[in-house]
Amino acid sequence: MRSRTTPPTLCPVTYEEAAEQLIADAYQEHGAFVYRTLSYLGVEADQIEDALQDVFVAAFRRIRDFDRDRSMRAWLYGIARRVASQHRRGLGRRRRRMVLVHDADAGPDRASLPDDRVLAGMTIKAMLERLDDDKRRAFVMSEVEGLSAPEIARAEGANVNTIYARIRAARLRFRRMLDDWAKKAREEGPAS
Amino acid sequence: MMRGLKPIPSEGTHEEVLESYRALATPSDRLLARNWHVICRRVRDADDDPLAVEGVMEPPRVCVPVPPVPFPMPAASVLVSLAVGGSAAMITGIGWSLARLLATS
Repeated sequence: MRSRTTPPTLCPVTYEEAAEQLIADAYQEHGAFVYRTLSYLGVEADQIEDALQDVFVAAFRRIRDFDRDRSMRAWLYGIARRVASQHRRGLGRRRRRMVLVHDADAGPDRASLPDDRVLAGMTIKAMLERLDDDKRRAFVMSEVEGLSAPEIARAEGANVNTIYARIRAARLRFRRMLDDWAKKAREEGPAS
Repeated sequence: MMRGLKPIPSEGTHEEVLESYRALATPSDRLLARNWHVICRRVRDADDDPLAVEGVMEPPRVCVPVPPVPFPMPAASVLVSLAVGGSAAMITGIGWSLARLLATS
């Protein structure tokens, strides 16, 4: 993913070089995670790429705030939340400086997924949209993206116990929705 | 559809269906590479900060002369003296009226 014209330095000598290298590594490792997170956070499909850029540009500007003892993913999640909030309010679009030509490969690579997985994913998406916002975020970050409750708590600025409670409540609700869905599918199955 | 659902042993949720949801939102490598080029360009523009607070009034960098006040403003001490004097006169008047009323009754 690293596409700079000069090879990465083994021992960065300036702050900017070190910051660029850190952000390049973070993008390579967590770029897809940030893209998904923006999608989970409700950023419109046609704005996710702009929001993705915003997250990493904002991260670069604030790299001094990053504590290396903490999780990079949780830190990026915190920035993604703020960027997503701006984009939902329409600020991102107004502020956008770079006009990106969207081409055929914009968005997730659905063509490579089997139909049943696409359908399953869309079914789960519809189910999760029925959860409260805070519970859905906690559930998705924990169950889908594998962040720990303390990481989510730090990024959300919430108490760890609150996050645990949200995850528990969301799991229960999600399981019920899945059971209902499976039951309905079984009932409809023999008729079709 | 959703064949062979595997519950996560510790949690009882369904790993495979969640993985489908995750895969559905995952971008292509090409998309990520293309956006990385844009990020590199934007990073070099020092004024580009997506989270800079919008709508905040910046302090003026040029001293603007204050327009003259259309009438002379008395000093604060003069205003205080006038207030004290007025109150004293009012209290004196009330006292004098009460005294006259008592004297006549």
